[in-house]
Amino acid sequence: MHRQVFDLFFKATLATLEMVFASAAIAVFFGLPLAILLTVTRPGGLWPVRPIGRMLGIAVDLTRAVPFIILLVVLIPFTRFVMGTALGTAAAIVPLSITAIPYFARIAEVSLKEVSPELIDAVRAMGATRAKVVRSVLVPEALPGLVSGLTVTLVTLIGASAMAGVVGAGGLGDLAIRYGYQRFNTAMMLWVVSILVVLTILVQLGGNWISARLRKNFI
Amino acid sequence: MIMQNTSPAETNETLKIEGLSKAFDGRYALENISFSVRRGEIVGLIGRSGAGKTTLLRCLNGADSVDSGRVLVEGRNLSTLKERELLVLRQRIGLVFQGFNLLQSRTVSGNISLALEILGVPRKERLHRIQQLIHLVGLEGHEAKYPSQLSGGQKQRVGIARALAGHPAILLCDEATSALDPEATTSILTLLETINTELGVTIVLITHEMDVIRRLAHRVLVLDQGRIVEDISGEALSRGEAEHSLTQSFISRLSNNAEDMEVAGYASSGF
Ligand SMILES: Nc1ncnc2c1ncn2[C@@H]1O[C@H](COP(=O)(O)OP(=O)(O)OP(=O)(O)O)[C@@H](O)[C@H]1O
Ligand SMILES: [Mg+2]
Repeated sequence: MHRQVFDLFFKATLATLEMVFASAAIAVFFGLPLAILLTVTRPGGLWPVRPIGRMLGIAVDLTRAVPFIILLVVLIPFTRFVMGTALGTAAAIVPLSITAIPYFARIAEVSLKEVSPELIDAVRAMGATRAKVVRSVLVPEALPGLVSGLTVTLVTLIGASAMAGVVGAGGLGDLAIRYGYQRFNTAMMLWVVSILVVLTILVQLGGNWISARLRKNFI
Repeated sequence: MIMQNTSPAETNETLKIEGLSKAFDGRYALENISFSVRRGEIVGLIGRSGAGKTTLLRCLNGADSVDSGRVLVEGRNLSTLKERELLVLRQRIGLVFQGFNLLQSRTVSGNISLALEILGVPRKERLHRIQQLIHLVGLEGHEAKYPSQLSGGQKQRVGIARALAGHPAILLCDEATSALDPEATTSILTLLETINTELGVTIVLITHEMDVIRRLAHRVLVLDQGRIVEDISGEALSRGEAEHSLTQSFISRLSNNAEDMEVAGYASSGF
């Protein structure tokens, strides 16, 4: 492979990783509190305020219902407002985060729901505040599942980030479109696909490993 | 160590329940219950599945609210307490569960630490207290193990250590030994006995095992369909002076091992 071509791939891969991990971080930052709220506001939950749970649930599902490719376009004005531009790697982080937040929230909610209600009830009965239960019981007990959920989110983001190439996001998707699709460079296309596959496998294996380590002490 | 907020008149009544009633969906789970528990007493609570034993225990620490009547813990009426005060009072009541309810994500030390964190004990003191509690329940050498690496009896020791973290005046045990084999049961009963005699902790325990009653209970309350149908001392019970047919059948059914199993199965198949 030529030096220049290698550089092209190297930069594109870095750009993809940057988009994926930055938007995943944002997804956890907003998605985890959202998942906690969705969990605790359920009937019989720690803080069963149904209207809040319902409203958040609807907001989450509506966002998830919009196909990513449409979200990409719809969000262009918003992205321009936040980032100053709608083009490039940094700008792509906005739509990627917006899809990843509700996605991760719903997956995280499943893990949080699995924490034994009896255990939560018991710790409450010991005199713990709700905040203490969330911090010391709900999240730590769900952690292996949360890590699995984050892994799934990362894998989905790798795919979505490639799609973001359509609107000039940079990264591997951009490479595939500019060289592979518009210039019929099949070899280039295959390389992009191979790198995406390898990234996906690495993320999945890494996530599985961490989750298994955390789960080791669980019954 | 135990009494602080009590006036002299109440010092002998750790728990006082007056006309307690509680309904779920229009059906009484507890109906006009009155009794009191003296300081240092061990009271056994027995009754068929669904009789209301767990509900009664939950009312005693305010986990369930009462519909009418009063629960006085060391002279303080639970239903007049603000949320904050209730949390503080709960910390003075230890709870031990059939299913242990330990955090899988924390070690033995970590699980005991949780109770101390809830109590607001500073980090430096926590380590020292954890060591004391571990020693008290005989879990030296297991500090760094996770619940998944412990036997049932050891898990319950962690549960008891955790329950004792706040120097409680009262320990409430809901079928604390029901998930354990006979050997572990015996060792846990010995531990509870020690806690009662040496720390002076009042104990109310639910059980369906006659052995537990025979070994520990100074007094037995029999609950049936939400009412107390018998309130009898341990000695009177072993002399066969029970009046209610339910108490008699409880004793006779459990005098035989094979039936013991059957009743255990029956009791745990319920709510
Ligand atoms: N949260 C609840 N909602 C509705 N009904 C309840 C609730 N908790 C308890 N009950 C009902 O109250 C009654 C007493 O239940 P409780 O759990 O106190 O019985 P128990 O004596 O502890 O039985 P077991 O020996 O099976 O544990 C039962 O009829 C039960 O169905
Ligand atoms: Mg019960």
